[in-house]
Amino acid sequence: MGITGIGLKARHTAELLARRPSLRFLEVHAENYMGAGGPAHRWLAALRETYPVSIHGVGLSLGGAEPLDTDHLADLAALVDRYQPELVSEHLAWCRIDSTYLNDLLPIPYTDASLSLVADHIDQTQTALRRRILVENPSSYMAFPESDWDEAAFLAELARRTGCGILLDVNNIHVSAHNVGLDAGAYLAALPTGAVGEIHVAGHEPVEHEGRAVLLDTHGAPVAAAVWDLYRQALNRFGPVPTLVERDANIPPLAELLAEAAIADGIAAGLSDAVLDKEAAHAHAA
Amino acid sequence: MPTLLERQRDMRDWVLAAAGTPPLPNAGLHRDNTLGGLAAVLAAGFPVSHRLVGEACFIGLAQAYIRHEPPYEAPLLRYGTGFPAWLTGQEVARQLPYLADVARLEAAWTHAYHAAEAAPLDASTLATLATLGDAVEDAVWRLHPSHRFVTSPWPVDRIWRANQPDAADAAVDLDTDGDTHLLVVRPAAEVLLIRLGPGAFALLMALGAGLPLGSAWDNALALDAGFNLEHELTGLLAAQVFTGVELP
Repeated sequence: MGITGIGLKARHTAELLARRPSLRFLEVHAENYMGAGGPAHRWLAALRETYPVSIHGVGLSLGGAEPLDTDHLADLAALVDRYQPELVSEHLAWCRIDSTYLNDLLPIPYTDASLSLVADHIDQTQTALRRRILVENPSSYMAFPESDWDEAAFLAELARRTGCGILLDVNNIHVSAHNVGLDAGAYLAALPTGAVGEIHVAGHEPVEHEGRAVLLDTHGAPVAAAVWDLYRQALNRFGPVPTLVERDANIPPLAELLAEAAIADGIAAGLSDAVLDKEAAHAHAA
Repeated sequence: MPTLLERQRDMRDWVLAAAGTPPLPNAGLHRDNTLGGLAAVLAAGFPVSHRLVGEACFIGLAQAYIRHEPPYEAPLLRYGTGFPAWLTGQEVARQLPYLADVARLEAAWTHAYHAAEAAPLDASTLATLATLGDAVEDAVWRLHPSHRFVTSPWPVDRIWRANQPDAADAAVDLDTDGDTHLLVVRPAAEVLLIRLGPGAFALLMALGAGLPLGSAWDNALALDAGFNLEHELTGLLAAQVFTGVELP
């Protein structure tokens, strides 16, 4: 058993059910399972018998300036009760204001006021779900002049205040480093080692926007070599944590996705003994 | 500096506006992502409507609809419930007068697809009811919670079937196949489109509204003097459209 999982996609369901390939977990977007019934629930219930599940929310708006949508939070809690996932995660982002939902993960400025607000929203979520959640670092295209925290320190402080874990998306770090000038190595170093509970790797695509080259976090391409390098650095620092090969567009045949998952497992298998000893020490301490 | 709330309202206003100055550099990437993502959700929910008008027209319609009625909740499984009614006011609906009704059928299909599960009544129910004599007319029937009715002067079910990805090219006669009464329901894994005669449609509408079988039967007979209750109920039970029957 490796450490890598994939996202559950409708087009792969029949093959997954028939072959049941070795995977650490399957990840689903919470909002896609907020219907009362239907084939998606039938498939997930069947696959849940073989695979641990990770529920990844995209719509809670932890960074929203308005109160959390308590109906949405109750739906998320019901989903967590129903599938008993191993991992539950959300985003450091906002997507909802004045009861309008924007289908995107929008960035927030990193200020003391934002920190208090997001920490309150994480507390509220962890209380409603009766469990720890992981919070994912965003892919950034815009920088706010009022930000006075750097992103990694902001995430580390959220983890310290709320006890939440971090879902570290190394592709997002790579994309943000290019787009808004983060230092990827310093980013990893600023995060506490025990807080990272999951890693995402994904593909991105270069585009031209307003005359500038931008890296777009599309989840629509294979993982880039530079992102695999950053992944290796992350595993060296944080140990072999569950990893998702994330693909949401241009979805390839299952075999191709499994081959990418095997790359991540291969990197994890090549970790030095010192890293694995550290992981064993964590596990022992826990 | 603006507050977080002001930042988010500015961004929302700009993403949904057709023009204007971006609040920060690169905000356009978020606008493209939001509108593109929601248009893709509508295209996935209304694939036949999309095929009937073509990609460019559909994207234009979708973006105008998104600005008119953006989603109010994060799950997008039901987004676009208002799209068919909004379509009726658009120029393209005058050129393709069946378009909005096809979209209503697609919205009903999506509702059925994600609706709650419920165990259907089996066909032996009819034999049990037959032993009750006249008391059977007081029976109240429960339709499967996934059900929706769709009516149209156009043959929207035939248009729908002819535009499925695996359908062979087929001509649909708009003049002779119309006056369509459909029951859309998902008793198991598959969504069913069941074309009903006017009598069966009246019967199910009445049963769905909670009327007892006797009243529903009267409604059916009023529209179709030759309506055969036992024959219709046998077919509907075989299609698993009922989940319960209760005698007062």
